Amino acid sequence: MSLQRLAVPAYRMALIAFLPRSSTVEREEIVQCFEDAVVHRRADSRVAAATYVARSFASLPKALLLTIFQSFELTKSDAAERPGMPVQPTNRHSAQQETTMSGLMSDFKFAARGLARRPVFAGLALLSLALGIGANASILGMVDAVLWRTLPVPDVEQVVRVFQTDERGHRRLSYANYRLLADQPDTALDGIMAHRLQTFGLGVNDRVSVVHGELVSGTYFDVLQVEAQQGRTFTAAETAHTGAAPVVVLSHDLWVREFDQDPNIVGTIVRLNDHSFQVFGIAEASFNGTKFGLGMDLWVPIWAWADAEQWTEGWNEQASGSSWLAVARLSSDLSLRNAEPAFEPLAARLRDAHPEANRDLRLSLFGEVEGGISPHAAGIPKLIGTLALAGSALVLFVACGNVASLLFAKAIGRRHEMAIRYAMGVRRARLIRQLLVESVLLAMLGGALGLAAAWMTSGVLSTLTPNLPYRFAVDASPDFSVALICALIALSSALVFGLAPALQASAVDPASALGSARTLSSRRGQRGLSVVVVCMVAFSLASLVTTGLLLRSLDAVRDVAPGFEPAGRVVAEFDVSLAGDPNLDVPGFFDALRSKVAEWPGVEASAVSSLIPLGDRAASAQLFAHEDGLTYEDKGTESWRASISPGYFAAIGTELTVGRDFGLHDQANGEPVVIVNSELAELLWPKESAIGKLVRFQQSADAQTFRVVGVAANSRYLFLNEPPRPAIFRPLAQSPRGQAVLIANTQHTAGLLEALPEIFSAIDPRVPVIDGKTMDEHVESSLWMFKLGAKLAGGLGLMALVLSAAGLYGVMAHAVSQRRFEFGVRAALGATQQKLVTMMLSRGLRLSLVGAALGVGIALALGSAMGSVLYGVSSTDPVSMAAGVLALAVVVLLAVLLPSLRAARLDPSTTLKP
Amino acid sequence: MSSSNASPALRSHEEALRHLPVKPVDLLVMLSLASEELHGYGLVKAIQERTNGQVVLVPTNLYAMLRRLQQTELIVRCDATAAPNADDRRRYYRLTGLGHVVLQAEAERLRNLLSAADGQGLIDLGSAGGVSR
Repeated sequence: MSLQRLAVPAYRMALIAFLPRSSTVEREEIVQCFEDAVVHRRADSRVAAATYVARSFASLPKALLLTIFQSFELTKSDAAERPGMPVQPTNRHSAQQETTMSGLMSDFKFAARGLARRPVFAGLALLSLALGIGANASILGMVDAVLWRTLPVPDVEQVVRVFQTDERGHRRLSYANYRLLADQPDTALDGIMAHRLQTFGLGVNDRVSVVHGELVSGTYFDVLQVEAQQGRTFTAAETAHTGAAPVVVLSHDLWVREFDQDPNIVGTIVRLNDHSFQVFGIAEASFNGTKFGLGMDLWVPIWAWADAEQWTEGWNEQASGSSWLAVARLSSDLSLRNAEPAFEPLAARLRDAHPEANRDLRLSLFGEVEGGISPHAAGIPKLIGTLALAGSALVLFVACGNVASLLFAKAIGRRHEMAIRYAMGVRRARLIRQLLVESVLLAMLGGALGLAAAWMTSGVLSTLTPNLPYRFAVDASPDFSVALICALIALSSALVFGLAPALQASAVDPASALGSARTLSSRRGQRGLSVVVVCMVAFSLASLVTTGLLLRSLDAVRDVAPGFEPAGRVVAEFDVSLAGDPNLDVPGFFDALRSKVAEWPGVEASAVSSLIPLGDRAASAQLFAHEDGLTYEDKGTESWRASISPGYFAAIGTELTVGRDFGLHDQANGEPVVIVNSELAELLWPKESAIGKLVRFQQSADAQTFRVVGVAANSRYLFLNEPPRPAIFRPLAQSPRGQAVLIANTQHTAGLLEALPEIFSAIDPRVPVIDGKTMDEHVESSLWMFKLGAKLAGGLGLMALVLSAAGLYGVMAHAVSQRRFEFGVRAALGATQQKLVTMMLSRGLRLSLVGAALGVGIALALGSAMGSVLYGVSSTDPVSMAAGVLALAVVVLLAVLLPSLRAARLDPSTTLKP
Repeated sequence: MSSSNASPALRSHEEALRHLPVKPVDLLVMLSLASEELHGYGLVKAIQERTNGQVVLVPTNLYAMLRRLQQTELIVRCDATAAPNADDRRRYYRLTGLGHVVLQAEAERLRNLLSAADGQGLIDLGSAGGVSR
């Protein structure tokens, strides 16, 4: 599957390069043939398919040669260009065309020979372009995968996510509201479906493994227009009621992973949370569900699951909830841009049906791409993506600058040759064309190399993704569109950066150029070179400083005290509801787990909590201080919340500053109690003791009240670098949760982690450990965003530095070889070696200084743009600046010094010899 | 191979002779198209089977050949096809009348060649299979 997905677009792209004279239709036909062959061979064996792919690619150069050969055959001769040969008026036009074609071909051949003759120049230029274009392809591929790529479903632009919006922002829909939308015959919609993530315990051969899937309405597959590759998908009619048949559609990936591609899987029974579900079908291989980046393993109808799990009667009638993500397919005459007015009548219906719960409700639509990440979170990946793109563009600039400087240098060296050709009657336009062809050839080769490198490293980039308990289904390898963009970038950079050197090289005055082959260096050429060098130094300094800022942010975040003790702790996620047993004694399970773990040698404390700080999951609540039944007009205080067992604070290492911990007496039938953190206590009861005070989770004065029995120290709950955030804890016994985390304090973390599956299965074999790790690992994985940024910027910065060093070296070395004659004269007139070195050095360093000043300016601008991602460092951080400048200075000095020393060692007696 | 349905636009024998000898791979393509219309991959498969897997064409080479054979009017791309299980995303090719004549002439040429070899005692056509005297 992946072979074909990779090979076909690559082949299509390669055809454009290797069969330049073919039409799109022809190429598509060839691609079709290629795809057929690969698919058929893949069915036999992977090796056969791979061999065929390799052979097909290997035959491409031959195809190009054949094309060139044919074009020569067609053009016969370029007699028309020769003076004195009469041209037939009738076929003048075609003759001219043919000459252009064959001229272009011979330009290419000439350029290729030229490159082969100067391997150092060609190598440096190709390396630069490959790095620049490769970095762009990689970054583009990643940004494309994360931000731009759409769901692999037909007419994806008609697919929108529907959120309900009120003054609290965008929220998901309640099932009741979804039903109202689904039941209305309305022309704006071709269909709407609801879904949400669900974790399942999948029982295969006495082994329970955790899989992630979606609970979906029966319209799910219809709305997305996703087909089954085997069996079939379910429909609305057969699933949208209680008592519907328990059925499941598996993902292709799960079928391969857990069922070994069993061809007879359809119709068999699988165990989900110990309930029986019949396999209805296997979804198309390309379909991974609708959740961005997360590969879904299976799809279960909502009603069938509600029956199996015995959801409380009336779960489908509450209008106030917000647990269902809704996705609609717009009718074909609407688009995302003009659809919102059409949804207003629908929103009005919702408000009429449930005036209380749906007060001020509106419906907001999001395109599939931005909504996939959720409207709240879209900002951060977007920012990172934009910064990464900016960084890679910077590297490309440096790379192109490099090539341009090399071309400039070469152009100076070729003035003599150009002058001769000009004197022989070759027009200037013809000279420019030939020089441009050279840079286009360079760009094409460099682009191909870069793309190949990006393909090979796309796996490496994928390892930068967060450590999620889900299957991370993001394919960051550059696809066809990325390849196309890169080809365009390569070509346009060739034209832009090749044009100036070409113009300059072709602007020759034969009289002066031929008058003395050893003129002193051309002033204009030197000026072009200087500009390029200055820009390169500026850009690489800017990216070095940016890297410094991000690395120092990461350091600062790592130094943050999280408010708990990460060392010597084990955390393990589990979900009691995966047992699928509504009669399971959940508090009893928690108690048994705690006592079993406490017995383990070396365990000092253990606790169970619904959530842990810095996790992937979070919950919040609005808190109101309760005083004499008064209702305040405030909106409450938003707090992080968790349900915890006794001993939580000891186990996680957070100090309980005042009051008591929950005890075994805080049972479901006891007084409802809570523990708050200092921040919440300070906000609700400034300058008073919080102990004994009452809080409510709802605004109305007669809502249930909870008594504060303790105050815990603050810690970091969502991000390490967040400002103090209020938090509230309830006893697990009074607010039981199926999904929970075990926290144990032990010096032998590895031993306990190893023993966990055994401990769990001894209590109840139906409850598996979802994800067990040390707290240190947990905290570290919460930093993935920072690390990603630092790695990206670091990689790009390093590339920029290497590139500008190589470029500077190349330019200086060339300048030295061009000025050998001049140096000879100077040396003969009495200039000392020292003087010559100083002269060269001062020129190189002057340029670098100007570049560095410019670079500092760019870095300051970039830094202020990055303000929101930085933590603990100012965007004008002098340490990062100094480090960047120092690193650059060392490299620049080396790149300038080596050629300068060579200049000084020149012997006038050889350089001045005619 | 069947000495096929003589096309109404039958070209002269001299014209066919100008195309001789036919390249071995071209001959394979023409042979495969003699009895049925095939698309690109169909041809790859047919030739692979015909040669017991010894000749496996890659797409670019195949299409270079198809283009050449079309330029010389030995085969033609058909827009609508009568082939069973036709797939409209793929283009089908068939042998032209001229193609049939050339194929026949080439077969005749090869038979004469083989007879000559037989006469020298190099091969025994009796056991060569398929080719009758």
